Amino acid sequence: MATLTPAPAAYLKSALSAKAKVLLINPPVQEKRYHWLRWNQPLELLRLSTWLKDNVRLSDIRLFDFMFPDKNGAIPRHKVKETWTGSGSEALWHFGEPFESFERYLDEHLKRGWVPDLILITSLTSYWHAAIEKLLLRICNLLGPSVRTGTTIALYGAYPVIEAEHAERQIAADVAFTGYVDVGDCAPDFRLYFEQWGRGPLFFGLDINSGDVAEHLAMCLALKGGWLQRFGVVKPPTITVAFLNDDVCGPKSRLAELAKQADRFEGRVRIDAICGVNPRSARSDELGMLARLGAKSIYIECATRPDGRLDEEAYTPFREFLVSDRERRRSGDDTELAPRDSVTAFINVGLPSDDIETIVRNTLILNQYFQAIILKPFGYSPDIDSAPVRVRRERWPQPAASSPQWFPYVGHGSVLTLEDYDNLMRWQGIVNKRVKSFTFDFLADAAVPKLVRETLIEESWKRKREGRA
Amino acid sequence: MRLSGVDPSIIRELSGIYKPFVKAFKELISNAYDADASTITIAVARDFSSIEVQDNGLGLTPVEFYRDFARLGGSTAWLNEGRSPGGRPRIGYKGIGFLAVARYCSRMEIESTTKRAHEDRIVVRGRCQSIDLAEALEPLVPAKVGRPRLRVKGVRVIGAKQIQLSGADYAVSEGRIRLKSNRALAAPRLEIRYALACADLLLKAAIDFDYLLSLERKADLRLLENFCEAAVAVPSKPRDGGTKIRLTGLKDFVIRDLAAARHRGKGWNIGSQSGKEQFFWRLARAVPIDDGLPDGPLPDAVSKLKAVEKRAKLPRVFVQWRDESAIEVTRAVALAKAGAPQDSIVSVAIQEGGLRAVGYLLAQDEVIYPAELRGITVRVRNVAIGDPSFLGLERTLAGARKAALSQISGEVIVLEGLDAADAINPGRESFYEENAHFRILKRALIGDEDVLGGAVGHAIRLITDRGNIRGQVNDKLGSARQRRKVLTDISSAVNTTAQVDPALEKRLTEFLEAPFVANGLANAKEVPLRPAGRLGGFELEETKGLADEFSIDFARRSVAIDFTRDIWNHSIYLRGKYYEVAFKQGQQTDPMCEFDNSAARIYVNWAHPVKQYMDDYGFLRSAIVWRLAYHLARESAEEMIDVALRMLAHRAE
Repeated sequence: MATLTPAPAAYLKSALSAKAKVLLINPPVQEKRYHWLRWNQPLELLRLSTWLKDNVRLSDIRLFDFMFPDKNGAIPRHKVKETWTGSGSEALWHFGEPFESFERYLDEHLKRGWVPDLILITSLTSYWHAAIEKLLLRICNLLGPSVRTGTTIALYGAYPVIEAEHAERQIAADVAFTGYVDVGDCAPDFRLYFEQWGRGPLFFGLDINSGDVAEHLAMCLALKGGWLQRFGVVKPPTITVAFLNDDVCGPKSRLAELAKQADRFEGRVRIDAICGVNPRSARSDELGMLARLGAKSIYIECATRPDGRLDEEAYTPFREFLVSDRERRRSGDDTELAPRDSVTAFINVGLPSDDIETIVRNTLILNQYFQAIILKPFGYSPDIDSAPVRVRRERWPQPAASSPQWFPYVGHGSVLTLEDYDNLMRWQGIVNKRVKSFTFDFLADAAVPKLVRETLIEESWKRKREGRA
Repeated sequence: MRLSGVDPSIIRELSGIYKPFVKAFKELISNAYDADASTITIAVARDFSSIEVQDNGLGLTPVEFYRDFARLGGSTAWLNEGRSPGGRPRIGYKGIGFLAVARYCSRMEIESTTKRAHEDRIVVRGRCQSIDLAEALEPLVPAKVGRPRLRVKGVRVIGAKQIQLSGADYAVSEGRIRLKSNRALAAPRLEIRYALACADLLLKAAIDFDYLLSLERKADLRLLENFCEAAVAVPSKPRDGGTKIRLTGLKDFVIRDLAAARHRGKGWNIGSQSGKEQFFWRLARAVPIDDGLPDGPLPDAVSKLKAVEKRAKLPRVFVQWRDESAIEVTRAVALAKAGAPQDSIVSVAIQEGGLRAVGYLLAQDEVIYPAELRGITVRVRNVAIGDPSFLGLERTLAGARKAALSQISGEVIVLEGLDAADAINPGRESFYEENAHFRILKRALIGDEDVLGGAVGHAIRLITDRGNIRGQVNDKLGSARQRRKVLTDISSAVNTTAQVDPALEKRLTEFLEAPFVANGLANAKEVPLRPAGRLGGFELEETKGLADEFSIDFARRSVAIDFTRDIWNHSIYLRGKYYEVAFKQGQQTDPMCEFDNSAARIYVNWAHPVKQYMDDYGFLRSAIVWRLAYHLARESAEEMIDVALRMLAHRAE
């Protein structure tokens, strides 16, 4: 059984000596689907590495990131065959390197005498434990009885924090950290990628709430430039940065300070604000700052009123910004945020309070302003559901069943059925007017095309509701 | 100028022998080589409208141009024992190389300067008072140009009696010979030896191939007078020696080939590459340049080849492709990869019956890419005889031996012999079976008609032997890997089944802690699944710390396997406890498997009768799972089946 440990910082400081060897693992994911696969980067592990080097004086830290893309930017995936047992089966995909890659990696290290004192496995969510369990067994089988006793295997991240009792039952793990290390302003240790794979990540995930975020960004530029110089590339590189925060423009955001230093980065930073910009936090100023920093696409989180309807007022800054954005482009000003189709708005679905008409209405409203709408499914999270463990286990015997991809609140509070959600996903496709990835963007913004477009949407949904094709 | 006595259709035929374009084009490079050029530069126009070859060789005198270009078969290369003035064994000696490109372009323009003087002799009619040598040399050299550059070296009476005349017999002034003596004046025919100083002359000529090839068969030869224009002039500025040949009006099919893009998808072979890459490749294989052999230590046979090339002082060829900077053409050869066995290189050294050749074959452990490198390249006078081949062996072999040919590449340079001076050998691609040197070469390389032998036979044996031992080692490793996977699967199956079934988890924990002891199987003889002793005729050694799972020393005929790797590990992790799995030669009545919790061992009866109906891995999985299910089932057959099937269906993906 894994020992639940609430204070990882104290534990690590006491358990590890400066000569300790630590292996950090970002595990694969076994899930029904995973849309944001390429943005899976273990920011907390990378910052923990820096923290360990600073606070425990460790120097021998290695990283195995199952999600690290290959040179072409692709992340491997394959079917988890045991789950593909016919229609109705809960078929899973394995996203990330296969377990065999990791086994070869660890076996190689063990044979060369590099035996880790600590193996720390992180988790981005509380429901992706299936792959972690399999990984734990692989590690234990690989270490063998003589080495296992000298290696501590620890669980870290959302899974042990949110599902502590389930993590405790992991017999193959020694410790489950039920809290996080306060990494303060530690920069992510991206060097681990260069040391392991000889190349950097496709993007650099940063925390925009960190006081040193500007320095971290500059560090990323310097790191990539220095690495490329080893291969004779002298041209200064351009990097892609993503702020892995829930609210990029939130109260703790250092966006303003970063924007003041935009010139420092000489246009060599491309920002993808994948984790969302909260409409209630973002004002035109913040959007302008994002534009100056090089943001090419933004994703707007959903802002609703208590009755579930869209808080349209909250979206005003975006609408105003995009209108003025068009005017600026017409006047030749190229400091634009993004063309209209690079702005995507989320609509939350999967919640116990879902109402189909409200969802559709919200979608139509947002579609007037933003070309792409994504229905973002929600699963269990302590922020939205205070159900105790006992109740959750009755609903979902395994935390994996509380994954958003399974619409876990169907039958547990939600009046919608799985078929309703399927229909909503199809609706999403209609709304985005994508037919085989081809958009109808050739329709201009004049009144008549606009009317035609809205009519098409209305007609499509009406037919669906009436059961017609 | 006249092209005397040649049917235009023959010209067409001769040009057609040189396929594709590069094979024709390389004849121009061969001419530059024969002219002792040390640097040859090729320039391809941006729009593919022309292609130019410029060399820094000896250049042509006007008289040589007439003889070598404008008269078929009139080459003087056979003189000087077939060697260039610089001593190179000449590639071309039949005077037809320039025609090779006739089908591929509309026009050939030639410019040439030389530092040499042309020394020659001319026979003129006698019984006259004076002979104007300058006029006699027209139209080769305009009299106005030639007169101040001529020097008479001797005059001789030709006839029944040869008489060498002296200064008393004639006087020379400005290219005119005034005959003085009676014997000189009476001579019916005179031979005049002369020297023409060409150092400050520029020869410019153009051959209209379109016109030439447009003529019908047996056309009126008088019409052929206009196919070639030539002029000799004094350039305004002195020029270095050398020749520049420019082909203009490249045919559509030539341009299409040169401009072709690379084929999409994985193109391992040269044939899939772009027109430019194919041009470079084929040119490099066809012209006399050094191999791209690296500096540094090389196997003996390869070093010898490199030394032969160095002694030959081969020219450097550069290509400027359209707007790009000029690149030196290098000739790729297949070389042994790092770590390859030493005997991968098979030495070739032939000295028999007047044939002397050196070279090597590479017997690689994997298929050679690009495919165009497979086969043996034979070079005569530093030029490859056709594409690499196995001299017909590829048509007679089958099975593994034929497959092995794709792993062989070779380079052989003929130092003496195989000149075939008397035979027409226009493309230098074919040999006649009656050529004795060819038969010797063939025997040395591939053996006799009925029995595979020679260097290729030896290489094939090496490859097949190595393939055998590798196959056997990989078999053993594959089995180990499978067994390991089964144990990992079982570990995962047990864990997953317990995770979802708390009651089962409880029984499992109780069982694993219970003091179960194995019975008969514990004392049974161990079945050794690890290879030991010898493997495929090779000595087996246990080694740690190998870079790979195994290594083979072909010289010592030994195989080293790292048994510390995880694939040889027979331990299995079951819900917090490690067991060591042992394979036993039990009785037929012994159970398939027994658990011994005290010793932390699982015994599998490898001699159980059920095993003959399954593969090893299916049996291993069944044996352990069914036994475990039996212990967990609380004496209920139904429950045992249920637990077992759940675990058997699990795969640790």
